[in-house]
Amino acid sequence: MKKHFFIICGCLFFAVLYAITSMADPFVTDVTNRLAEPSQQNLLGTDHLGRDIFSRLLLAGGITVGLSTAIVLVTATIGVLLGTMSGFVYRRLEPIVTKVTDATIIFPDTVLAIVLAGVLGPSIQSLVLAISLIKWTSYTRLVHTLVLQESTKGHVLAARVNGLTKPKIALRHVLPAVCPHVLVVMSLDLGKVILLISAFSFIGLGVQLPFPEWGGMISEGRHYLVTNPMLVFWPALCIVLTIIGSTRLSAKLTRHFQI
Amino acid sequence: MKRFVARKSLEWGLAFLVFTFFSFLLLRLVPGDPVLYLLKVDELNVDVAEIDRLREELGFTAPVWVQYVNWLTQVLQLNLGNSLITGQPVTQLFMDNYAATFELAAGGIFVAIALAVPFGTISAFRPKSVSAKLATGLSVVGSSVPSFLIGLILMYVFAVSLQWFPVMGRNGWDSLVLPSLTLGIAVGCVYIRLIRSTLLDVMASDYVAMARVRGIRSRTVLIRYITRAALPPVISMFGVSVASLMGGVVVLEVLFAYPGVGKLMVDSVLRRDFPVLQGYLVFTTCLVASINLVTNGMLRLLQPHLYRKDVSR
Repeated sequence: MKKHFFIICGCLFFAVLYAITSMADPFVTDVTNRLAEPSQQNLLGTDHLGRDIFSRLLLAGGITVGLSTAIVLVTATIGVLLGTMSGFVYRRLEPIVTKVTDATIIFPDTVLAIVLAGVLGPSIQSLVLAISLIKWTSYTRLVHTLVLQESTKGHVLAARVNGLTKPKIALRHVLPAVCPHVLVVMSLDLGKVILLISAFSFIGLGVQLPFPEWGGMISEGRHYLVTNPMLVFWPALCIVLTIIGSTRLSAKLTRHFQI
Repeated sequence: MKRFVARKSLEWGLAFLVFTFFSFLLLRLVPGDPVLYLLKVDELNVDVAEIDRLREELGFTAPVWVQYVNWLTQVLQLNLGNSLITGQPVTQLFMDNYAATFELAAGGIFVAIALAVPFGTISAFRPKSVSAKLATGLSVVGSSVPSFLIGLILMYVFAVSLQWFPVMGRNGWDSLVLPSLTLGIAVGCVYIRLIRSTLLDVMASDYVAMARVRGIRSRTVLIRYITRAALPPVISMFGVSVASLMGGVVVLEVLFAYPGVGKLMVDSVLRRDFPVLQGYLVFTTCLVASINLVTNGMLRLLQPHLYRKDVSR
């Protein structure tokens, strides 16, 4: 499990490493040195504007994986909070929370992302906003159902008879059973969000130039597919490895928690 | 079933009101004054009378809820306004573009089924065969390689190198092959694993063993006993993936320059054509929600026992 976790963390790590070490600047264009072969200065060569591919890949990984992790963490936290509140701690909230979730879950996230990009202008901010606006609903629903199941079990009843307060029971006796499920869904969602950000950057509605993004790099490089296939190959490899990492992580988590 | 339909339509009606209200509010989210934005004040010289005239024309002077009710009655009459750029009615634009998108989606679903059903079944029944290993490989590839990359590779191999199919555009059925193949691979690979695992679950159940013991032919067991029980998870998954299908279509339409609704939307984003975007949000959300409703109804028909328990409790 650790191994696969490292694949994802590796991208973040390299982004930090990039900041510390003095690598080639991913933004500096050098037209005299465009489409260069790999060399000591440019580990993987340069792209059609003479920018260093390696440093762009690392920065793109930092942006995409970092943003996806943030989205998944924030929406999962909201989901866990709302789900536990409505399912156990404050049952009076239940009708409101479920109604709002049901109404929001109807919106397909890609459709909302496109429309928000149109209204707020195509940018990574509107994409992140669109994904987050939809994603929390699935976590809320999941946690709500799990908490309802868990709260009828014997150990929770025993804790209540013993006079523990509801928030304390939720923290100590309900959430530990809920968290494994949430973690598995989170690791799967991470891959999905990365794919979504890449796809939107590919069609020009995600991370905007000059910032690099794997999908955006593929989109830029596809015009050179015949002459310089490496421009597409490297970002493609990065996406595929990251997604495989996230699916393997979720598979291992499932096995680990025996869900 | 009657009660289900009544309750669902009530829920759906409420949800419709909520999400149309959100869609309606979206235009108000435009940073700054939308009227000034529409008139492109930075580029043109406009006088105050002109601004007021447009404000009146768009009905921005009335209170918000009056604006919403007016807008909703128009939407219910299938009048989604006119495109700001071309002046065409949005509904007409959608008619042309959704036809193209539905062709692509239908092709994609066809490829997905043609891929997932045989491969999923084989890998469940003959787990050690070559095709089963191929199926496993395919499902890993399909779920980890982004669809635009699959499309790019297919485009490079079959359109650029072999020149069997046109690279992009939409004329004739052969321009539909590559996009629907891409969509089908991207969607279908997820189902291979799903079909395999549900089939394995069902095969391990007692009544299948009982049917075998009774000497029923294995083909009959497969069709009458296993397939029926394996359908519900696949159908519910399909309902979920319709939303992602709409998103996947957008990316592929841009890649293949296919004049469907996704391409229209991305162009509208870049031109900031708000009525088209608003119409898209309302229309597509309705579409996805209705398909979800239909899949829910089908699930209810296929496994009535689950819901009967619900009533007695």
